[in-house]
Amino acid sequence: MIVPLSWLKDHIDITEDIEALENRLNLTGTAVESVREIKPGYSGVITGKIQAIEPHPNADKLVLCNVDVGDRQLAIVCGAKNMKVGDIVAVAVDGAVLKDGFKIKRSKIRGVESNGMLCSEAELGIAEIAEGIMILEKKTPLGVELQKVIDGSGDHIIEFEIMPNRPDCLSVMGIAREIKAIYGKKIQRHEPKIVESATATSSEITVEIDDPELCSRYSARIVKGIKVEPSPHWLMERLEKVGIRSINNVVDITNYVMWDTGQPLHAFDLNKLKGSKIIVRRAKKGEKIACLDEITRTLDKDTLVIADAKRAVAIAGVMGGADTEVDDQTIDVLIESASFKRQNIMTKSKDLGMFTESSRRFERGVDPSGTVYAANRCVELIRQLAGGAILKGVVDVQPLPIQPITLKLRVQRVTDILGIGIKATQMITILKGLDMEIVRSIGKEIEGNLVLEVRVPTFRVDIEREIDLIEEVARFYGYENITSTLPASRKRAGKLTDRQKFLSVINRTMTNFGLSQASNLSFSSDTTDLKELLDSHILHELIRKKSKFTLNDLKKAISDKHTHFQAEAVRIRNPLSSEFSYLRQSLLPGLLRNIVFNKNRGINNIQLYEIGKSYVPDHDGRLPDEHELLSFAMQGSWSDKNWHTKDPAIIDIFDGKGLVDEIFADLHILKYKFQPIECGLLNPARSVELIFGGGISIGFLGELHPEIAGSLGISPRVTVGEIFLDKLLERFKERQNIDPISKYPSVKFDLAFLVDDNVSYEDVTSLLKKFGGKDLVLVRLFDEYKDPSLPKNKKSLAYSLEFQSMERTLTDEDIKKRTDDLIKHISQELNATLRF
Amino acid sequence: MLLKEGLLRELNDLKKDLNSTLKKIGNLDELRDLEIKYLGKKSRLVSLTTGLRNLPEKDRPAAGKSLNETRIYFEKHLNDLRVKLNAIQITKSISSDNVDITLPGKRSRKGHRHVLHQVIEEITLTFLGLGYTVAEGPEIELDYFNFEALNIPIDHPARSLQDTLYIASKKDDVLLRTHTSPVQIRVMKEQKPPLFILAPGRVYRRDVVDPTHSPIFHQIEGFVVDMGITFTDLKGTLEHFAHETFGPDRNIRLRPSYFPFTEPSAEVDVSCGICDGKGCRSCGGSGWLEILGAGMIDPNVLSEVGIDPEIYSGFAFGMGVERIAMLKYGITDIRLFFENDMRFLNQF
Repeated sequence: MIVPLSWLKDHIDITEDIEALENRLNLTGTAVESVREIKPGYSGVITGKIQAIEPHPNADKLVLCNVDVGDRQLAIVCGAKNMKVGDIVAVAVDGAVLKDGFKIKRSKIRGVESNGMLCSEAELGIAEIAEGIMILEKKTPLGVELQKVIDGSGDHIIEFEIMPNRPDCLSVMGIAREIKAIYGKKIQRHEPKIVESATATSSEITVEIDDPELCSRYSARIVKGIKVEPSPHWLMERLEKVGIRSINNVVDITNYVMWDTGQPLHAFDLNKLKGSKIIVRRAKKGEKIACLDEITRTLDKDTLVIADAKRAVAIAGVMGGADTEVDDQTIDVLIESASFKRQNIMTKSKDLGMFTESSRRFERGVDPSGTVYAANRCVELIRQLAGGAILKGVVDVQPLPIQPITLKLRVQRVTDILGIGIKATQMITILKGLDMEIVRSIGKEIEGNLVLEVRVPTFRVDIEREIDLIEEVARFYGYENITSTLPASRKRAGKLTDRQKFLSVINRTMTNFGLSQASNLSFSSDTTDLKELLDSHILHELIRKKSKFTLNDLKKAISDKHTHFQAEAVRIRNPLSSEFSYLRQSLLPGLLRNIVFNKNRGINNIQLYEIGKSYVPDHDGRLPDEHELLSFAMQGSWSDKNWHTKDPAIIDIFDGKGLVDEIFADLHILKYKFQPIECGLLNPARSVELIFGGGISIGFLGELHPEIAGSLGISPRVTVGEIFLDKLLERFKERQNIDPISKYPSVKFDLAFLVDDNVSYEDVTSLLKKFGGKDLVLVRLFDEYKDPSLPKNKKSLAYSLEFQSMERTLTDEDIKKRTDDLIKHISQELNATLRF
Repeated sequence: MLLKEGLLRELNDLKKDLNSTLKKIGNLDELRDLEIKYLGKKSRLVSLTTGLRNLPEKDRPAAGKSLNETRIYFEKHLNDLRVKLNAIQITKSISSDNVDITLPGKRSRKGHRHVLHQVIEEITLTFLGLGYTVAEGPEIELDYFNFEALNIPIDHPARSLQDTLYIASKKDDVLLRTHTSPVQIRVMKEQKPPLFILAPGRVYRRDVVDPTHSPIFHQIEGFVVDMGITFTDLKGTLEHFAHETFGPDRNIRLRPSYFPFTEPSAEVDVSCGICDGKGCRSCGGSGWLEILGAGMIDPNVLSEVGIDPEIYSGFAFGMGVERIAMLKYGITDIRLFFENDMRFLNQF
């Protein structure tokens, strides 16, 4: 809501500095968004005193004035007649600039030198029209800049952020009322002076309200014999300051009065209305109306319309019809000032996608008591600016009387809610300042049972309950005057949930391992462009289903989307753009997008993880399922090459496996395994599924499929993984005890086996663990190699082993016996030979 | 007589011998050989000591004394040399350790938490200290929890405050929550007061991405319901929060505002840390920065969840995590949070 300070001053005397005013308004809840200063439209104008007036030798209509401007005397030719010797006037001296950039230069007028110009208010841009030049007060000093001795030339344009509960503040008067309440000032209300003709309005028109629920009041007035023309400058300028385009004098006046009072008005061309009856009714199903914006709309039966005998002529409270529009030819107008049900206007303007200044006010609530005042103010201005005769009386139809509501305010309740004691007298002062009336009071303050009965003015549609009154008291008591406490201690103890403890363990593991946490938007796109592969919900879906797919399948799925691909994603009904059409089902596309983003900026070592939700439709329940995922994507090395590490290792699937091992170690989950997986996203030679005891899949990891990597333009050595945290959380326990530490010495030694190529690490290790017994406390592979020096189709696996007993020191014999045993089993079962 | 004098003379010769040999010793190995030669089991000194019993009884004390003095003399000189040689050796070894000490340190690899999650965690800890527990709710919500139960019926003007993303479903009442406030309703329906709850999470708005808007952002909702909870409690709580989050020298101010689910409601500002509240460019000249919305829980909301507003009262507040992080770290573009540029992530 934009309000020029100059306009506000029509209603209330404001002497406060603009910043102080802004601050007080902010602290009482009328939020000021911005204040823009408009500088005066002139410069180089100073004050001067007329010392002599002589006739112009060559022109009858001009005079020659001798003007004292303090430090010098200027001879100036002037055409006005309203000044006399001794008057103080506004003098535009050589070099001055007036309204619209008009420059003043010394010049000869009809052969006589003129050293400037005596200005009228209109020429200075202070007033719209002026008769003669501006005469200043007698005491005005001479030779000073004009803007220092007069005001009203510049202005401040204040923009307010009005909350939806305060439609009364969508008017200059409403803001003036707030200022009145802040400072305890008086409102200067303009009472329209209407000269009426003998003909009664009711003889020309009657109003019938068919649906009193949707229209609680309809007031109409008629002005006949007007002349529609452009608005005078002052009106255009006021409207321009608040951002309304000037149309013609009649329409501008309706807008002006709406801005001033908050009551939307509409002007009909009376002669274009058929019959002599205005009917407020619901639209007929399929009824059409051509609106002022030149769009024809089809209405339903929930839409309220204003109709004449034949057809709808306006969508009530939203927009008028083109057929009955006021135009240059209009000579008689009907002014509508009505009150419509706010819920209906809100729903309809939304349905129709029509948001007007009128609907904005009606959907929040307009004071039904204000219709006649606004109509009167409107016709008063029409007669002033467009001439014509105002017909006698207002046709004012009001099916139900308007009753201001009365509320009970328990004085003690104010303290119970606010936590501070405020005296009843202070509350009464605040409420009266807001135009509320204390009807009576019951009980005694000293006994804590004082109740005030408060009558609320009808323009405060937001005040319906006791708590609303308490808020008003708090607002004007001042939040800044309310003290601070902390809630009294009752039985409560702050604690983290199991889920939070679990997530904090995971976050610690991930960051300790060297990954940084990412945060991506939870959307996927309905794109069919392969270049935007990572955005596509189809990729999301294929990942979620872990289905085998090749890049070609993917391409086909994307291009055949509408025929073959049945999306099972959570779809957004009203996305703002197609890239945000669905909710994500996997976090990996987002992380891969981050990899591409970073790579394009020359960053090669990228290790990211994200903990976030995936969303899956649930056909049985009301709400889709939300699953928490932990995903990661890593590429490059853990560090750049360095003076101490010349050739850092490239991150691969084994970093991924190590990361998973660390996560499970930190969660104290022991029973899980990796097994081969086929998933189109991943390189089949370098990917695994993560399985819990019981065969439950809890995720997968691997390096990117070279084909996919190629199409993304990145290296296939990108190790990604996705783990379903919900399933992990179920098994998460905090550590219950420690592994005991033996006090006896351990024996460490190395063994290397030559095995067939197809024997895996897992094969050898499980046998070592199986036959090593409980004293074999460490089995660590320290070398795996194939080499031409080895027999064909053989490889070497070298282990560090460590034996240690909890009960005693192991002897050389113990070790020898166990080692021989291990070698024997491995050799026999795996056709292995011992290398050392 | 002769025997004794001969012994003394020999001891003297041995001392001279040692002195001349010591000068030739250059390392600890040679020194060890010398120690064996002069003090070892087979040394002359030991055999002379053994031969003491062959002396006449009266000469023995004097001879024994001389032998003892000689041994002390040997030990002292050998030991002095050992100390000297040790020192030389350490000096040598240090000089061979010489490096360019200005070479950079070997830094470990290290991951970083996302700044938004760090801010959420810090704020959670602040409220944990005030006795709050954390609650979470679904991001895909029913209209009832997101609006209706929060005193925002379908035709309420406040619906136009937030542009909502809806989920395609059979009924039109499934949406992406526009704030974390539905968690209030869920918790209040399930638990009885006293309630001290903090609810962080993702929220969604139908907004175009630009430097200050994102269709997804994070909020932290906090609320308290108990007997005797007042507006002063809200103000004190928010002051504590602001001091913990922005620093003890920052002030807050509450301005009356409007939210359908609180009354009285307040918009809360923190004093600008750059100009100290005097007004500068980053606070738009006002000296204040808007950080959150708050208020006393509206009696309609309490009634809706079956809590009697005549017995209980409560307050609630909600803040945008991105906004807090932007103010804390001088971030001017919200998109940075979701681009995941390593150069951004690794700063926190």
